[in-house]
Amino acid sequence: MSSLKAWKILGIILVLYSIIAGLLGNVPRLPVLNETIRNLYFHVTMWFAMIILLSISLFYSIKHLLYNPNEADKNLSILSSEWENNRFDSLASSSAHVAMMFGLIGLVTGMLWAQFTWGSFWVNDPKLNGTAVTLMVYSAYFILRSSFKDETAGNRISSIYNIFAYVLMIVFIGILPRLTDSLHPGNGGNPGFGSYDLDASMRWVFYPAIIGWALMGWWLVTLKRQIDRIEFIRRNELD
Amino acid sequence: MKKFYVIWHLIRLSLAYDGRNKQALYGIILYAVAVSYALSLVFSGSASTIIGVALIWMVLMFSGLQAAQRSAHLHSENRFFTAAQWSGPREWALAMMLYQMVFQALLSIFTWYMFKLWMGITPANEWIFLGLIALGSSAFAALTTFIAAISSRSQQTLGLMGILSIPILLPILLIGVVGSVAVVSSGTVVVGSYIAALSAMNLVILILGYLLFPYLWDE
Repeated sequence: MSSLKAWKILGIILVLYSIIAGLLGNVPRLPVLNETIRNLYFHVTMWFAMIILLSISLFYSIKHLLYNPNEADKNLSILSSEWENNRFDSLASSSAHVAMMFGLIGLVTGMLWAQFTWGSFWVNDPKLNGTAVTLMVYSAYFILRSSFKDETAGNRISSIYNIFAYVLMIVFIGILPRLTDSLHPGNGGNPGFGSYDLDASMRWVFYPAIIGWALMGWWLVTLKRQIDRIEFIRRNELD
Repeated sequence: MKKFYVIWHLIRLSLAYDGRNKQALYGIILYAVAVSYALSLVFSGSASTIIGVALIWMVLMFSGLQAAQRSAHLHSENRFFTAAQWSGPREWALAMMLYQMVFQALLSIFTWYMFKLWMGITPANEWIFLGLIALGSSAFAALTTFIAAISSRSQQTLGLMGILSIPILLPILLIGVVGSVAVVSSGTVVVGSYIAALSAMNLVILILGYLLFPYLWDE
């Protein structure tokens, strides 16, 4: 069912390239940051991968709400058609799961970086607040998913919560950094990556790393979905 | 035009319902009075203005959660289907959110005067401060009303309410607190951006509620 497709190979190559080039390549020598600037390739790319996967999750949640079960293929068995009717929702929840994993890795790499540059594992910073809110909101989403006995209603209502939470989160991430100062680049007088930190040689590792991690993330989503399918079949066969 | 009439009628219906259940209403007012008095006892006049601002925002956040639990009856199937017979689910959602928003905004202003009486906090520009509090509370109310509708569809309503709302309430709380601290410490600071941010949050929640509510009851 799952074969090694071209995009998966591309993902492996890009991630391997970003790890090797990220650790061995040439980086600007900056005060305070020193060699920790290499963390840019591993920390910031996690956030980009997370936001990409959360956007995919939003897309499939909207598709799930707009989907009409009457369009389904009538030749399928009851079990398969029930799975097919919830396919968009299962994609949405798998993407959110993988995005949470990227979020946690991004948080840990960021905390380590903060310890060695700002002198503390946690600071009161809009970007960190945004992260904390995002992780809590999606934890609540998983709790909501698991609190329904009727799966069809549960999937639909968690999709609604997913859309609601995503939009508010994006509004928040868009608004708050403009209102308060941040230690992160690009806010409150601190120069952005674009201006001088991210020089040309770093771009050649940074952007491929984002694409690579997003592809690896999507691969994980497909794997998570297969696990969900096996669990779904086992659960219904036992009934 | 008919839509506005329907929404207005639904709001009057809620008002009549609350008028008949005065003890619930008194409970909420007593909550505001008792909590602000308890806080003034705990801090016994030693709270700085910044701490006072942080405290009032926490009180408002939890009174928003409380109000939503009070409105859980609004989302009972019987009341919904009765109303849905002559109004659409979207009009119903808008009416419920607007009613709760106005109610919470008024309650927040009342809570503020209780705070002022007992804690002795004086912001540099009181009108802007009141505006921030009212806007923040109405955003809390709109959000918790929608979340109450979501959690009433599951089996464990009470436990879910807090889990689902508090993470999404945090952004509003943060904008409100940062804005209020700016107003309190110097009234001359331009706070238009905070008012705009909170209004945007209100609007986004209303639009999302309007768009998404029908899917909650889509059987």
